[in-house]
Amino acid sequence: MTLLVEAQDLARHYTVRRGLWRSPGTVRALDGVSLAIAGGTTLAVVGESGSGKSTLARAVTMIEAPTAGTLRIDGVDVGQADRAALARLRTRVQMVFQNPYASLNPRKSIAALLGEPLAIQRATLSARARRTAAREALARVGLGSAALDRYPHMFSGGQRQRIAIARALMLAPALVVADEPVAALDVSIQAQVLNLLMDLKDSSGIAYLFITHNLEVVRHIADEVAVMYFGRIVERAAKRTLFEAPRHPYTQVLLAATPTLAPRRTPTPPRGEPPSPLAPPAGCAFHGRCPLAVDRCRVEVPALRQVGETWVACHLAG
Amino acid sequence: MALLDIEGLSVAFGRPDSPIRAVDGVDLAIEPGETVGLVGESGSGKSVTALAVMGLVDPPGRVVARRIAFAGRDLAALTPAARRAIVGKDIAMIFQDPLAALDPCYTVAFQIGEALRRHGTPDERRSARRRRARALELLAQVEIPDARARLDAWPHQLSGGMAQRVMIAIAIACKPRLLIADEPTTALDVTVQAQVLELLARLTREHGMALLLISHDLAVVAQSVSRVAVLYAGQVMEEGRVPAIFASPRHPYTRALIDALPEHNVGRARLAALPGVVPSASARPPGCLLAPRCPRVRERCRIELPRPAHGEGSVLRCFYPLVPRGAVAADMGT
Repeated sequence: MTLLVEAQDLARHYTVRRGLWRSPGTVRALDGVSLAIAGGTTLAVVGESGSGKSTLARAVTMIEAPTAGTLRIDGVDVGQADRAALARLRTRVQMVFQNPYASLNPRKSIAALLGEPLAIQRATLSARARRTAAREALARVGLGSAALDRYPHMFSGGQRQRIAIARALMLAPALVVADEPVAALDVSIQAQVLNLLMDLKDSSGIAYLFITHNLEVVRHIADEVAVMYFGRIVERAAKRTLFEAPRHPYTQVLLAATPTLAPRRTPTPPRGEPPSPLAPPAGCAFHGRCPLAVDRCRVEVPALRQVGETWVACHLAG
Repeated sequence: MALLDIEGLSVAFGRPDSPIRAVDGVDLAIEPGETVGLVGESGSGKSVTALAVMGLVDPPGRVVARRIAFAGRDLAALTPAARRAIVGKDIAMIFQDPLAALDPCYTVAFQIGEALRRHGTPDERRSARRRRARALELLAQVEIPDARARLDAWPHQLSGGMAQRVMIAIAIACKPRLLIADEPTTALDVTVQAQVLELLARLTREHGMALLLISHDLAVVAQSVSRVAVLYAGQVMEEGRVPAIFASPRHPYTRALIDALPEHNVGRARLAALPGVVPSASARPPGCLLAPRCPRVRERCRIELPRPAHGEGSVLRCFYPLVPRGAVAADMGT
């Protein structure tokens, strides 16, 4: 079976100016990330701000070309594809953004918003057919057809996120990239939207690349989990393996820092804060905060390697 | 005597003939040194409650209360000047977005000094050198690494976690007896959140300071306070001790909030979601505000508004509450 998405050593570096007299710096937002997503499965990517998870989402949705590495979708190398092939690939991958207040154009009706992907990608379709398709998509996300002629400001945050999901479904994609899709929603609404995403996966076999900072959400929706820190994947494993036996010290720190309802001993908070992206530390990026760091960690960047059923980038794992 | 004693607090916005009730009859008491949480979804009135205590609700917002007392003094009866002498000194507040709360045009040392210049000891009010020394002490207290170098830093040079520590330093500069923290960790990463919560816990413990922690995140509250009030659409639905209130909630809304957490659905295919949305503050249902969404709703709930029933260390506003775990099964409502 060909994999839906296959990324090899993806990198995205940005040049940042640091004032008139200083030389420009380089931010390695994404620094050699490899991953694979099979059809109909969910890969959750977790990490804190600045870990590169949104840059990864932008690379996989082909919004931004990576500066290095290869990305294959449906077995087609995106970097080598011609315009026609790219246009076809873009229908296979759709995106849902974090803030439904910003991702829906306030001046367009819901029918126009949902019809837009069809107007671009299926130009032969009549306006009536687009409207019918929009109505069907709304029904799939649990909204009535009365919504068609309304505007985004007339909906609550949860309803807007449903509309954004409906828009992502219009071209029947194989992969939906969801960047923090429930982070802006209240907990009771968050549960409704997560349920919807899982129902859609069951009914139409969509795969998700699910970007989030919330480990509890990951525990619920993921099949596989990749933990990112500072532009790299530090651990990748099946969900159960990752939660039961986290191998990277950063994953362990993240799990311990996530608050839960159940009372427990005072958690030991991790030391320090993530390093500045303009002054990356030598060796393992986590060594300054790692409780286990040894001399080797300060010098040598650990490669991702297999330990048991887990892929982990740590000198000490295993 | 309670340090902070609120009775029948209501805050309304909009025109008097069609008021939008953001807070609707909230009672809340905080003892000296006690840590209390206020949880609720957006629009539940948790922030407006805090702003009303601080006297920061501007017209056209209208604050009405039977009593808002701090250490026995009725805040509403004080002159604005007398109230300002308390707010910022005995009651301090920190906000969700620390980088928006700090003034970008002044250094860290200056902004800490500002609080001392107004509310500090006579010595601190007179001497800039004394204020600077105290600012350094405070930065060390909130565990800012390399505190001396940070004194002359500008807010844009601080990370989010660092900026929140500076805000906390400003808040505790005059040794307040009550700290109100409004979503203090919502804008922070989870590892930094753990550090800031730990810091708040240490400060309340060491200084005997009371804490009112406002958050939408049940888990954050569960880890940080000893008592919780659950707000919905401007009313307290349930209040009780931690962890009992989370282990066996009595109100269907508290139950629903807990059930919606992924943490409580491990291994299940779907989350238990509460249907519908919070009623808007201008279009309220006539009976219980939760009635349109409540799984246990009956006829009476749609007509009549339940009154809060006070128990020992607990409050409950429901006609048909859940039976607490371990109690003899008896339907309380019928």
